[in-house]
Amino acid sequence: MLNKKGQSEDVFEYILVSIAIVVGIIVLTMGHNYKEFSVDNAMQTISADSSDIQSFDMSFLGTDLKNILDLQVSDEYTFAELISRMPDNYPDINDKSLFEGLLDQALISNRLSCDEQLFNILNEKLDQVYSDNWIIFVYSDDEMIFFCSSILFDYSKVSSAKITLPSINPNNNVDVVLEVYE
Amino acid sequence: MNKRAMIMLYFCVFGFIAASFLFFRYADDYKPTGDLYLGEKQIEVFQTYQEADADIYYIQHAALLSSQKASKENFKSEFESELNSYLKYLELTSNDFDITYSASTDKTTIVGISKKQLVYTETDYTYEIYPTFKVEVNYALDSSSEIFV
Repeated sequence: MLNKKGQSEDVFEYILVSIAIVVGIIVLTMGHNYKEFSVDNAMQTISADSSDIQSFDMSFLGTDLKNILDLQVSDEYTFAELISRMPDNYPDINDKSLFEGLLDQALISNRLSCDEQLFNILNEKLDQVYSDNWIIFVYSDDEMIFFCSSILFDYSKVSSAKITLPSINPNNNVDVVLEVYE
Repeated sequence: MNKRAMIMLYFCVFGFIAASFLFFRYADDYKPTGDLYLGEKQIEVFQTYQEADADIYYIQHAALLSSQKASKENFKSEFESELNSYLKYLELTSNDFDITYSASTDKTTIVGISKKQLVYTETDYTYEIYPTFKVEVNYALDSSSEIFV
């Protein structure tokens, strides 16, 4: 049999364990009933929300854009080289040879677009991945100076990629943007 | 259990309770904004590669335009001067590159290897790369040209 001191220590432990059990029940009840305290909610901070993964194509659109820029669009130029010459031909045309099967110019806005020949070259590659749902823009000083697309209506944009290219003028870079819609 | 060792039990009980409260209290502070996808961090790494790739493409294209704009007579100085103008965008100069000129019978190949790294600092990592370029002009710079001086 325990002496007096031993008995008082046992009583203290009973009280302590009782408090611990009550606190434990409260914690577990909160975790079960309240979403903000749930283990699932806490675990989301360190694990994925679901087993979904992002589309690889949509995450790496930049690679497609780079490959498109390397396309040979005429005997002289790749698409990137053609884009580098666009600021020199907007709004006034300086090199008329670029408008013989490559570029077109809108009558009122003077904005550049692709001729049928250039469109077919670009679409031949892009159509395989994105059907007709692609647009290429070129911006110079935040002003759109070129676009090429077969899309006639507004769709919801899925993804886009941007590459900055030097133009003929070293002080005027251009941004090339590929947007894909669904 | 030895009565003296019982104090460890108290530490364990209070430690468990304290850890539970701390976990639930601070877990939300680490929650990223937006949805967290499987492989999201890995995709971020690949996107950094793409960012670097775009800059290397810019340098390659700048070298190509510079080679097209430089005249045959003063090729080296004009090429490097033009390249210098383009590289300001990436806070580089043509002096940051080891540039070699190799002439054959009908063309000259210009290869540049950077001595300075492009640095991409992200939240969890830093990516560093030495950019390079290689362009050709369709004429041979002969031995009288300044590139061999």
